[in-house]
Amino acid sequence: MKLKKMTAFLIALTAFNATTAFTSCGEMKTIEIAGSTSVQPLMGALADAYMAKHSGVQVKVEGGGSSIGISNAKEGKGDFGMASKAVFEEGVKTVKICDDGIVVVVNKANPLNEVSGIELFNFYVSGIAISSATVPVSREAGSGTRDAFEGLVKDENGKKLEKVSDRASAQEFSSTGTAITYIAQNENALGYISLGAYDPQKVKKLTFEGVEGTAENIKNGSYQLARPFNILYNATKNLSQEAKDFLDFVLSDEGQAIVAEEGYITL
Amino acid sequence: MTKSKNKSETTAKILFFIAAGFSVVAVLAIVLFIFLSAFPALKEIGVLKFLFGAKWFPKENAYGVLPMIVATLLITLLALLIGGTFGVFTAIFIVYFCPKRLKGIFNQIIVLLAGIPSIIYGFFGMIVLSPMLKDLFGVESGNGLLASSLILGLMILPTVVSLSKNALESVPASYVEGSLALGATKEQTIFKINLSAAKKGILSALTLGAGRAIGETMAVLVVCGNSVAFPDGLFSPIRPLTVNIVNEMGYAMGLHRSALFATGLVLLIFIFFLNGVLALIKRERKERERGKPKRLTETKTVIRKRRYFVKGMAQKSLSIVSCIVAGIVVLALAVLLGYILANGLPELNWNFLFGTPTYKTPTLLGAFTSTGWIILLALFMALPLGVGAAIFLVEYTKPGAKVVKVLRIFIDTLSGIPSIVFGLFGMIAFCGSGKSLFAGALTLSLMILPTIIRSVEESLLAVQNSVREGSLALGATKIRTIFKVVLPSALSGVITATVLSVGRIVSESAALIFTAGSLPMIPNSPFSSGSTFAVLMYNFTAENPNLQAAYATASVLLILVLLINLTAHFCERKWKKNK
Repeated sequence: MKLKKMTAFLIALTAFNATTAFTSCGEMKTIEIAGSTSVQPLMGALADAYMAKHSGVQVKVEGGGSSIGISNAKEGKGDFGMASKAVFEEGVKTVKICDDGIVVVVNKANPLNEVSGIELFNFYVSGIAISSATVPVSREAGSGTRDAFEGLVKDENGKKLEKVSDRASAQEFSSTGTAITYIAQNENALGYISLGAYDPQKVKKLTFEGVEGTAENIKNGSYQLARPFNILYNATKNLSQEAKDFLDFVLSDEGQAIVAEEGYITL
Repeated sequence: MTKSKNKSETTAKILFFIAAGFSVVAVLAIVLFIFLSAFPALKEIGVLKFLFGAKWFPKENAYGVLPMIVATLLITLLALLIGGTFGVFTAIFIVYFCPKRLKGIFNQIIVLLAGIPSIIYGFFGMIVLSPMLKDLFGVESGNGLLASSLILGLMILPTVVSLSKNALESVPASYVEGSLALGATKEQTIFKINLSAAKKGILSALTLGAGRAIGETMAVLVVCGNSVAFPDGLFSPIRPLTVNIVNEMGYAMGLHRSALFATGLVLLIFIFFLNGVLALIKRERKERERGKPKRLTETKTVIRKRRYFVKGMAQKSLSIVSCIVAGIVVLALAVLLGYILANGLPELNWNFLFGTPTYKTPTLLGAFTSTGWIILLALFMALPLGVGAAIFLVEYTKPGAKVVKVLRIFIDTLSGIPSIVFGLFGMIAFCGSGKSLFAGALTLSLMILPTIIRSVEESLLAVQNSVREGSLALGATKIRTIFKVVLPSALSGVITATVLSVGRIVSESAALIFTAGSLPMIPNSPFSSGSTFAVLMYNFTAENPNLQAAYATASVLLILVLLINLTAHFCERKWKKNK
């Protein structure tokens, strides 16, 4: 009796799952995109807009990191990879979809308003405080944001931060979100995040070398902390019709309008 | 017996044996796969350089894990100190000082603490504990050694409590009676006699707790500070081994990736070492039990008695401590639950639960489907294997047989392997064509297998032999007896196993991120990637932080865990009543 009940329950559960799967499936075409977690929110917004127009297509956007995006494109896994840094990889085609700034942020209670490259270099290498900012916040090794930031911050002699391996200990986070949450709680923390993820409700951005990090200043070249967002795909693999169509959409005026709306810098 | 019947009997026995042997295959496969993936790094870097190198800087191909080994050992030690002390005192309280009516509630509290997903512990640590420590101690950052150890201490507490409780409850009554008859007070008896009689049991509880602390990933990820350095204080940022893997795997290629697998291998070796310790403790315990009970010589008794006279107050105050500790544990749970539910429940609405998700306004509908698929698929694979293995262990072997011993070692080992290592294994073994719910379910089916085996085994053992003999005497074959007589009366065990497994699946995150992916949409087939509630909650705290959504998802998770616990409790009660 009990056994029967249990099997009945299991069957019902299977049926429920099967139906939900079936109704959502139909003749669905999919576009699979994975890679940089910095590009992910923007790609999500683009995917939302695209799916609203094309009901028969599901765009799957997943994180994983820039390296996943690059290796997927190299191996031809999925349709597209995403990378939040410049990519020069053999066999991988790169399409720039927009630029993103990197802003240096502190807690809203911190009186600090500006920062220079040399100050940042010494802050991350030797832990030399920048007035009231004493706790360096960084991202994990391999993060596109970190790579871009450390390639742009230099000391007096032009030595890049990424070349220095002996450093003061920093609070490292594996995502923009946790870094922002941490800085929002700690008045002594200073870190760097994607401009698109900047939320004045939570943290405060600093000017870099006297220039404010805005879309405009990045476009006219006066703000230096910027990096490209790229879509990658395998050079030998033929893109499906849907994938081509989606890429065209991203680069179209409509797609670029979303890019601007999300706080990134259009092509 | 006819020949064909005999044949089917043998086939059945072989099938059950295969089910039981599956755990052995699984453990060996995991070790082999991880080792093979770690080998290139160990060869290129050198084992000694890898283990004792103090610098981890993938850009310059510097891979030394010593600071992480130190960090892992330190947080484990501190967590044991905190969680172990609190756990043992709480166990003492529950067994000896808790009013009868509260006992059931207290047991439920411990079960609930054990069931809370690690992702929620981590979130709580990040949002509440770390800022609190920072203000309390006036330091620059609350993240680091102490915060990680506190969270881990809280997490291993349920393991320590429930096992110590079992140990204390199995102290022979004669010991207690003897002590009381000699004029010792209740408190003196508890702290001098019962505690030392249950020493071995408590020691194995602590060892298991250590295993859990070493393997924990998601809870410490956000509170450890994550800096590769030797800690020089309670608040210095650290990076344990598990965090190193989950942190960098997304970015790692080539040698770096292999070095992360080598990190997993180190983790695995720690766990195997602890398993060895556990086996030693158990063996010693058995030997002691076999021997004659220790006798106190007369002079010793006199001395002890005199000391009791003077020091009786010490035990009395210890009993008060245990009450206070138990109170703190309840308070911690209440704060955790209260904080998350108070912030999360108001965020819940129909659209967030069941609306169609988009990337900008995510909903939980995808998580319902993904979690459903994974539960279904994992149970579909693990239940028959687990039940088969349990049947083999109970019905086809004699207790104490060599096969049983070997099998049990492997089953225990499988249950001790950290989820992050399962994740690594699943990633290379099942994700050839990309991450999918199916790959996640395969991985999780290995993780829940030991729980299923143990719980079904227990209920099979509880079936009285006379039932089996009756059935056999009436002419039923052995398989018929098993399936028609034994298994139905052990059904409660199967159901409990199912419920416990569902609980484990719902709260898992580390292993799933590597195998099932993190797509926040509705998966259109089990071969699509997808995220369960716990993984979705992790996403809400990561990119594009959406704390409201994280709180809301955490509340749903907690409610699910509560429901699962209640179901398990209900099943168990019903089963006991039937007995």
